[in-house]
Amino acid sequence: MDELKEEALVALVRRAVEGEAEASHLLYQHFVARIFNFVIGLVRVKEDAEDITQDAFVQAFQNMHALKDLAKFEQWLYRIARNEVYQRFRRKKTAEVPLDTELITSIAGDDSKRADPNPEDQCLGSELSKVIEGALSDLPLKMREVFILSVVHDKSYKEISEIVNRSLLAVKTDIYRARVFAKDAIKKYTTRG
Amino acid sequence: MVMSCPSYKEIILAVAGDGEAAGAARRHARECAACSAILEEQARVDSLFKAHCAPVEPSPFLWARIEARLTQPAPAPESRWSSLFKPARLYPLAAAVLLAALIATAVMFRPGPGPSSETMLADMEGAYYRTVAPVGEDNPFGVQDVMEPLSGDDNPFRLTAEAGPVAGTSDGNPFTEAIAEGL
Repeated sequence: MDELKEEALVALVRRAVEGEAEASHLLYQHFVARIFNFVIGLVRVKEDAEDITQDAFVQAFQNMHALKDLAKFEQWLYRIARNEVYQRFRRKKTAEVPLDTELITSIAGDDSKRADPNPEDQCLGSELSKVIEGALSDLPLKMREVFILSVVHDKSYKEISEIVNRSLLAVKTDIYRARVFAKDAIKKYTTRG
Repeated sequence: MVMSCPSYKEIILAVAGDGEAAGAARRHARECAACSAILEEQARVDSLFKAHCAPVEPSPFLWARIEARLTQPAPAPESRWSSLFKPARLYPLAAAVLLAALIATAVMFRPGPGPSSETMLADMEGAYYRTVAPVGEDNPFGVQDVMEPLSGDDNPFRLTAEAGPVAGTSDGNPFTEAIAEGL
């Protein structure tokens, strides 16, 4: 969906705050993909990501009156989703995230759809996907979230700092560390092969 | 001329940065082959991760589930009493009551301030000497005086014991004269 202009977004959020169901639905349609993919980037399990996304939207729509700056709805929604992820991890009492074989397979499948899908390329693509998935899973949650927001969601460092409620310096440091970690993981894979 | 290279961290962060430092690092990388190589390598790594995390569609039923939860009636607010008796609150309360009872019991049955240990020791020592210890120089309680038979002037009962005539009477009977006078 195209990016909403700030005035249009504020108007839509205001209607949702006033309890208009249609406005809530439009907000959902506009933001669900990015919130769901942010969550799936953190938890790496599709079913869990759907449950968390559902909880995040319910939380948001039930507490719209608590949103002070209507223009910051997106950051607020990201933050709610992030809190839900952390709560889920606390309940599971583990920060270990299992690899989602379905996701890995889907990425490997995307590789196989390339113009020249010979078996060797397919195998290499699948292996690279595992390396990337492993690197993501090995990243501590705090680093993983800022890395995904920066690399996958193209958020600015300032936006990320607002979403994760940490200083700009801390965010930059963690993104730097995560990038170096990711680069090393890929380097190991390429030098090995 | 190429100005001095920014730090490795600045180059890495410049891949996606939007600040002045990031802009300067990118401008520098355009003229510096080494920094440009670092920037390009990092951009390739980023694109690999971005491709791996390609958007996944959520279930088409997700909105229906959210809507159902939003439209269902809110649960009735709990009364103060029912919330008070929730296990989560009841257990600490019970623990606090139990602790208070234990403390109260300990305070109630605490022994009062008694005699000092020296006094108690002296009492015990005295009792020992009075009952068990043989009379001797070490016995400070004079038990010997009590135990010896009374005799001589020290005996306060001497007169009644000897039953001699009462002084000033003819026969020693103090009532003889009174009987004679017809009393």
